[in-house]
Amino acid sequence: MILRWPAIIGSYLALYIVLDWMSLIHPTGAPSALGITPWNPPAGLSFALLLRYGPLFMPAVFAAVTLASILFHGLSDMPLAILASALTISLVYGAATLVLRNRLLMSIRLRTHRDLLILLAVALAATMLVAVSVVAIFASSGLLEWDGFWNFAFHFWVGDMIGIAGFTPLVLLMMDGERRAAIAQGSRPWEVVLQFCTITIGLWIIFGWESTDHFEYSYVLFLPLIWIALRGGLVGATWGILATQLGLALAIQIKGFDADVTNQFQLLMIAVAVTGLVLGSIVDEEERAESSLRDSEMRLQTVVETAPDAILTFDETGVITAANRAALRMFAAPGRWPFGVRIQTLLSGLSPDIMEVMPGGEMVARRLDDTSFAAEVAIGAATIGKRVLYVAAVRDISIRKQAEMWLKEHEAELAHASRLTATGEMAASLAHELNQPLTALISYARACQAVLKAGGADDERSLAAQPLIDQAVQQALRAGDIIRSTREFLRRDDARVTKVEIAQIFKAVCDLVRAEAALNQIRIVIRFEPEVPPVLADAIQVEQVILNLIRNSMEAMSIIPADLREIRLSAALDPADPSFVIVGVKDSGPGFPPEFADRMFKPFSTTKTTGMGLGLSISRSIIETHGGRIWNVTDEIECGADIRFTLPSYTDIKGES
Amino acid sequence: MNPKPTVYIVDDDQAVRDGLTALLTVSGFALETFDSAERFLTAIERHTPGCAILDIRMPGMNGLELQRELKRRGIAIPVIIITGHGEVPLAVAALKAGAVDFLEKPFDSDALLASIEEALRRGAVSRSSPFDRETIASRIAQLTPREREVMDLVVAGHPNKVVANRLGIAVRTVEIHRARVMDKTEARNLSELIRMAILLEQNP
Repeated sequence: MILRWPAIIGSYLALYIVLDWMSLIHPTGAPSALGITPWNPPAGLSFALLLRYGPLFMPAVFAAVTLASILFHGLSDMPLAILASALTISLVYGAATLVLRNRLLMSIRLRTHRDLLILLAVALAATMLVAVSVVAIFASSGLLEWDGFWNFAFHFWVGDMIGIAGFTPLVLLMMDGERRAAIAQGSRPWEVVLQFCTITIGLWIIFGWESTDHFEYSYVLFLPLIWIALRGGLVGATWGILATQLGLALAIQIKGFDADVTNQFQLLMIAVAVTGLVLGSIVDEEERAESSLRDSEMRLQTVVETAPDAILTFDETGVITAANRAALRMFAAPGRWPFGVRIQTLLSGLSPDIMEVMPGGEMVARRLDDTSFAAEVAIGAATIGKRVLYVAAVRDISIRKQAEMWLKEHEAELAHASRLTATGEMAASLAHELNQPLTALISYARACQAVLKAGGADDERSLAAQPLIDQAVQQALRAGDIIRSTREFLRRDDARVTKVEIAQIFKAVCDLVRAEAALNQIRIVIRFEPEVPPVLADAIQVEQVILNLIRNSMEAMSIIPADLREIRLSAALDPADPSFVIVGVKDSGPGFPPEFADRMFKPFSTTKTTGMGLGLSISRSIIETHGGRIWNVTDEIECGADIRFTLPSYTDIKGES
Repeated sequence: MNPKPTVYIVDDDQAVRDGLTALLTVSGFALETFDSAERFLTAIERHTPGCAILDIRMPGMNGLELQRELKRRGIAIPVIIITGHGEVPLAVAALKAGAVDFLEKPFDSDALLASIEEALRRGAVSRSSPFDRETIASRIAQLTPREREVMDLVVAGHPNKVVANRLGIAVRTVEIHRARVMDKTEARNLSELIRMAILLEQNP
């Protein structure tokens, strides 16, 4: 890193001296001695390096100009003029590059033709300022006559301007690693040779014929450069300009033109250079735009091909014009999309005549083998000229549909089951409640009979009462029978007791309440001990119990802050009796009021304003029918409802039988 | 004479307790009533001979749990189970646990009185069944295979609908089979049928 700067500055100084010496090959009279040359590539080099390395490079430029003045311009005895002109050049060009980079935000990679145009515009101003200032310094030092001031200044300006226009872009591009790599890759040697031959021919046309005044055909110089710029872009143009300039200098040398004529040719050269550069940079930009379009097209193609959805394009009549891989797969097409298939054949849900844009909808899609699947379809359209291109994106949602259907069916099944159990529970509860007074009634009646008998077996009235009381008892017993048969009829007795995994029941329940839980901002946590054996139960009925408890919890928790709402489902082996599994449903709600805890499992008892009060009673019936029991855990420390119930484990039942 | 046997009634329903008290008092029994299993357990420590009539569904400890608890504490008092929930599986459980009888509410006093007599006769020690194993075996042998199937399912606690479903026959057919079973076994009620089945299951 430390070695870098001396190396750069050293190379710069060496190159500067060589170029300055070269520009002096063709002395054009007095001004040449002062470094006023028709072509000043060192200025271009300095400008490029100032752009590249910033104002830090100004001392190096100052040193280079001073060195060259001492070596070639015979100014060693005029130190003041040397220092003043060197200072002016380095300061003005330094400032110009600073403005370009920091104020006008020019990219030194010359990406756009704007970069190039502002470079040339600022260079124009800077070279003018330098030319006038330096010539003024020379004049005031007595090195030049004030008479020829504007003439000298003009000469100076032309030399520096063509130096910058012809050389700065070349240097900048050559310092750009990416560009160099691009040149190495894309060079076409035979074309380059041909292009340089054309430049030579052009120069020969201009200068080869003695009879002309040499300006007559000067426009010929534009032609090869336009060709080069069109083919080779900015890089080509810079090399072309260099070649043309060298050729021109050589021709002028051979012809021995005077300073004025030379100057006029250089002015022409500026025009040629500007044309070539602008053309080259526009060509580059277009090339870049085209390649980025190609890139994005490629990317798009990749996206379309890798998309899991089927993507098809079709015309106004619905004939499919293209399809991605997913489409081939989804519609069971053979290796290639068969010709002439219409989108309406695949998606019968679309209107048959008019193509309509559709943001998304579900319909039945038909595969080419005539099978069908549920699909989500979106139709889009793009107008290209007068034609309209339609795009259909098709997603196979049959799996999702199946899951939805399962959930719906399961919900219906549960609803049915809970209706049945609710009716059954009502009947059972009613039966129980009515059987009590009936029992009492019969007992009283029979007691009554006994009392009458004891009072005197021969009492006529007592004898007459006996059959009447018998009748009363018979009627009470009949009421009991009616109640029993009604209950028998309404009882849910198609319990399908099988081996069930608690985890499976939890999953089904969670699937069912997911939406409800999300709506009420309730988290459901499942805590599951790994060694919990399967249970012997009717899955639907157990789900019903858990759902019941979860719904109670959800309602109870509506009064507490959302971030505290949590329901914990747990399953563990019963520590007291390992032939049972304990299932727990615990919430973080307010829990049960103490006076309710005693009668919570009784029918028709509720803490809610609406509701029959059968939920927990049904739960108890279901659990007891399974041979388990259900209870409420009261915990002084932790609040919230904590209902637990047991179910016989499957392994145990199997062992018994 | 031994202290007069006492009939203990454990039921949470006031009306049932009062009605039974009236009936049993005029029938000449000494009796005590309790509205919960817990109260009964504290009182029974005194251990008076007699029998206990237990309701199944009560708040706190239920009748079956009470029956088990009595056994656990070594209180060998004969037990009659009564319930407003005529659940056959509960009856089977109660009878298997040694209950003398299982009565569904509402019941006529004859049935109750007969059970009490039976319980008191059996006393605290006698566990002999009123049925003769041989007799029952011979009665059951008369059942057709289908009738036997119906009996097994009924005794296992399945209602007629389930039995019909399991066997793939009509409920009405089950009822007919069931009546024949009761006929052939000479069981007066389901409770007796269950007891017969339990007896047969036991090793001779």
